[in-house]
Amino acid sequence: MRNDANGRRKLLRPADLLLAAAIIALSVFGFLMFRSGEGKTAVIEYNGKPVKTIDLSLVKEQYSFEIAGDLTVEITVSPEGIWFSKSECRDKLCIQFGRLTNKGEMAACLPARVSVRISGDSADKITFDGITG
Amino acid sequence: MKNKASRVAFNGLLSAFAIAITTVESFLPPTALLPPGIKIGFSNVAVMMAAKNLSFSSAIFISLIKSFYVLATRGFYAFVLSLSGGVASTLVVILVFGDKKGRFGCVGAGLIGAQTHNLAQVAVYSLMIGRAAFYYLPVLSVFGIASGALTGLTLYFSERALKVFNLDKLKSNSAVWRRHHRKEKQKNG
Amino acid sequence: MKKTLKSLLSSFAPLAISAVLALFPVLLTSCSVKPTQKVTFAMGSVVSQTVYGGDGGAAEKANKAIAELDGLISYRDEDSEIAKLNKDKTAFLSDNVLKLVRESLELSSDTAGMFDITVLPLVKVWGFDGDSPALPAEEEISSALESVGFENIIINESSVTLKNSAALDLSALGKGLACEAAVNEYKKAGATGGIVSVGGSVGVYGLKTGGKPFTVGIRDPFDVSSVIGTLTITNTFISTSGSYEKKFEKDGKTYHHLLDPKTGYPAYGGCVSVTVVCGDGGLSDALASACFCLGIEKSQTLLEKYSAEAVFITDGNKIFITSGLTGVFETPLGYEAAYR
Repeated sequence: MRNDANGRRKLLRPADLLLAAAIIALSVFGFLMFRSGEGKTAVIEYNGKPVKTIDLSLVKEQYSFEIAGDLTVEITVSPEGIWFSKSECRDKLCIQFGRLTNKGEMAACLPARVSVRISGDSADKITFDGITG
Repeated sequence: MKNKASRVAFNGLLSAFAIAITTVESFLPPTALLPPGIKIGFSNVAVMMAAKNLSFSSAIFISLIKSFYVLATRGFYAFVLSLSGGVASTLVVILVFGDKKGRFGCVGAGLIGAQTHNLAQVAVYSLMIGRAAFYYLPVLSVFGIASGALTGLTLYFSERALKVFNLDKLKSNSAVWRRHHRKEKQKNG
Repeated sequence: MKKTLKSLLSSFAPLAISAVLALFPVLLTSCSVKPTQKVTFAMGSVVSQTVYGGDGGAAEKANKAIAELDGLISYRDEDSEIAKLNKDKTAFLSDNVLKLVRESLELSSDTAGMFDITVLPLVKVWGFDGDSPALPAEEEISSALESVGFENIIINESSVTLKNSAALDLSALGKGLACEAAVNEYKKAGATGGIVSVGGSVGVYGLKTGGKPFTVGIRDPFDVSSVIGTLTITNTFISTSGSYEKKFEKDGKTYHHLLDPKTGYPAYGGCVSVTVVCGDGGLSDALASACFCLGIEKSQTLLEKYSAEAVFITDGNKIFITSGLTGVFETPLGYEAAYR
């Protein structure tokens, strides 16, 4: 039955509920997946390519640095997390994302084409047996 | 004739409504209830109403008007995101309302519209910003369920209002309308 | 008779099979090489070791070897050969220490004096031997410079004499030498692989679990919690000299610990960090300091002579590598090849 008594399309059909359930399930799955993995590596990308990786477990004190994307942004890292602290963009949406602390969180400045995400993915983590320097 | 004029007027009304709602939503600051970049998307009620009761082309028209409005007020990047999400979700909603079997109800249409909007936006976003875009998809999707359900609900209850104004019979290319029109023709001889 | 034998075998067989199956995982785990890991402190740095295979005592023996080495060459240890030489200005050196002095002299002549182990008076005047370095007065520097110069080292068979109140500081080679001493212990203990790091120097030997070479990260000079790339390599030594390691600021200028033995002031070769890969531990360390002071262009012939490779990070944050490291050095960032 397409329409209900008044000839209008029905409000709710079984498929709707299935759909909602499916979306929730997929979202939970995605959410868990992005939060999984070892370690906490912040990956900063410009135009989709990584330009800097920071092992957040090694950060001892707060410091900031600039990334010169299409626009210049300033990113601050501390033992608590990483965030956009300054940006040349108009909306400052990147700053409104606030501080990223857990895996699976992200922030981005679209006009600058710079994004920051915290990943547990081993492909992002630069693993090494020893370090020189 | 009368019907055509009514259609055009209704189209204009819906467009104005969409623009007004878009403006209001742009003033909402990001909070815990409304993470950055996420809007309620209430203006999609207009698009869905057009898809259901006007024509598919007017639905697309309203969607485009919305996007160009965003271009004028919020800039190029917001425009690109609005356009990708808007066009994709409009096309899908058209499919849903064109479905004779009525597999999805109004709420379902709202959900599909919202989810497609999110998926398309994230896809475009990822082209510009990289993998990080996908990290936002779970959050967007969950909020999309709420906003999709809300728009679907609103659509359903506004049909009642439409009936009062006889606007629910404006669809120019639906089988129902044609059947009704044929009946009318038969009645009138 | 045959029947009972047959029935015995048939009941014994499943028992035997299940016994073997039960033991199999035990056999497997005892075959898998679990590495021994040890972290200690020596030569003013953290010594971190991971040894695969061997008798399990390799790491401890390596620590002893490093302590012995330190006891021979450290200018801070008044019983060391070097400290005694610095005090008495003439002394007999054991073969190994003498060899180090000769190698350093050769390196000094190869670098036209940019690398020089007689810099100790200069290091002291700057305070880089302690925790609070500061800008010295010009007179202090010129007075210290009078004792600096590799020509002040006179070798006569196994006795060494220092002229003009010169004093030796072998710490530019020390950490690399320590890594080599550790790796030698791993070889003696029959280890299948091992990695040791002493401060910023790393020694790699053999393979780790899975038969893979080791991955050594190169620290980002502009962000010490970050790594700019990795070297996948083994059976070699890797050392880094960087201005970021020890420095201080005064009146808006930054002064770092890699001093030019000719001017007495921090050397400037255009780089903030130089990583050298060399089959000789002490050389990897010494060459890193030398190449830092020389800069990319002038380092090329030096590296070629000692069959060493290098990664340079300029003060503009650009990465250059020597051709021998293509395929070994990986980075998500871009890099250019140094000319060879």
